[in-house]
Amino acid sequence: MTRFFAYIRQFLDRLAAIRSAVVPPADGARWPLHLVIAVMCFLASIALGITLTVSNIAEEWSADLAGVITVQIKPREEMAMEDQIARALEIIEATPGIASAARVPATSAAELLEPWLGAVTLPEDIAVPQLIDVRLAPGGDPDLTALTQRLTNAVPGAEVDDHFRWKARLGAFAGSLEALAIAALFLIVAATVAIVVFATRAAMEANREIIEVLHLIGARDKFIAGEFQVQFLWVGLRAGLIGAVVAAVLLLSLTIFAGGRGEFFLPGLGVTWQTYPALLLVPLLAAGVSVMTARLTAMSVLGQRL
Amino acid sequence: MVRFENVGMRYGMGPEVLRDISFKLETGSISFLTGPSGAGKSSLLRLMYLAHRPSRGHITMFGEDVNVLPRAEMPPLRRRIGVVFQEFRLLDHMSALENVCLPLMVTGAPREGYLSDVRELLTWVGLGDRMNATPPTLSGGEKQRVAIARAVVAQPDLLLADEPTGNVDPELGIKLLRLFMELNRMGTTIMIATHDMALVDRAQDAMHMHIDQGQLSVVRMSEGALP
Repeated sequence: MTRFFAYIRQFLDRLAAIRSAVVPPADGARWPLHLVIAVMCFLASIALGITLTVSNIAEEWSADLAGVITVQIKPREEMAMEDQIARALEIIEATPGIASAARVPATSAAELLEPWLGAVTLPEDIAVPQLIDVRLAPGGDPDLTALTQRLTNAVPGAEVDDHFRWKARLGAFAGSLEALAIAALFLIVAATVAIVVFATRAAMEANREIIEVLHLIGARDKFIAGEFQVQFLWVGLRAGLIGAVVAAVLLLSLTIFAGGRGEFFLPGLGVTWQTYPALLLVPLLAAGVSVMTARLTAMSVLGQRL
Repeated sequence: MVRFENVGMRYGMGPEVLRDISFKLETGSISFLTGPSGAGKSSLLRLMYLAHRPSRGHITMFGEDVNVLPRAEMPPLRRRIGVVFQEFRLLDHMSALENVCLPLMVTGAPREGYLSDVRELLTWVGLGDRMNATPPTLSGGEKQRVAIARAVVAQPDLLLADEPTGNVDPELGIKLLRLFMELNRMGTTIMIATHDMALVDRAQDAMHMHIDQGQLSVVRMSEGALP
């Protein structure tokens, strides 16, 4: 363990030693640049958090619904409810690819109705639809169209719900949110690139004299661009870390204030714990974008000189 | 080593500041360039240290045609030229030691390979106790010596000095001239642009060129004794 910490410390020391040796940091422009990139990284973290959460929850919901269909039996005068259920179970169990089928107990049905009717006991003479929970065999691919056809022919009031419509709508909802978040991420990266281009040009203009001296003593463009790259590497990392940490604190606070379950977007739709480590990607992305942009900008500016 | 043939130079669309300049510097030679302020001394040096391309004529440096040399091939050529700028052009945020290290640092050479040589050089120019001082805290003479040390640290083939004694007292001027002579004896080709005629007169075997209103004339070919 001590050895591990020694390696970490060595790595951090090496990282800290990577700094511009020749170009002085532009103190005046330092904090506004950090602030703007930190804000961009905060927004990127929120967008990333939303994307990951939505896709994670959508996957969970889809997985929960996969392999399950529900058959609803509505009361009909021409057949007694018990006969309807018995007939339906008989047809379902005879269908290949079905693992099991069971009537949902009255207590469970009452629980499903509780949000609408409250905790009341229904009189027995009130006819309420009954549900059959059908589990598909793993890898089984029953012909649901044929099953629906047989059930509706044999059991009046039978309806099959394979949750397809719900899953499709859920998928569309998750897809839309993801697309919005990805579009926001692209815009944030584009804005960050524009900011770094502007800042690099300003830094190069402020250090025009140093650049000319470096050229005249034989420095190549790559060396000079490298000096600016290193500066923007640290700006990107620091600002990215600040933005990501602020976003993580905000998401965590919302999670805590929403009752510890993180359900502040929608019931059951909150930030998952897996999201937080992913936010560490934001400072790395910010540093990468800053370094690449600074390099391309510096090389382009230097290329216009002798 | 250096050949100028009918060279003309102008800044942008301005008038020609150098006209029909022709001369040749032999390897291992030492020469002086004199002339009044604004005559074109610094412009001629700018052409020689590859800060500018000629508007017309031909310049050959180390066998390369400067007129058509791609900019990507300029750095190796510039590394063969040491320059003492008139205003020193030291980097104010770096110590004297770091300033002198610069020409070696940009080549990518490992620092431990040259650091002791740089310290030795700074001691040789009398700045052994001022290595960690930054240029704003150095006197004019000290800055001058740092600039000279930076120009010679990479052992250039050609040393160009623009008014190297302009900011120092006559005594130090003579010491600096001795330093240039020493470098010349070690094989470096040297050209010094100066107002200081006393300095020129002290180096009797050096070539003397005079420039006025952008036109160059050779006053004296090399002969005579060293100071």
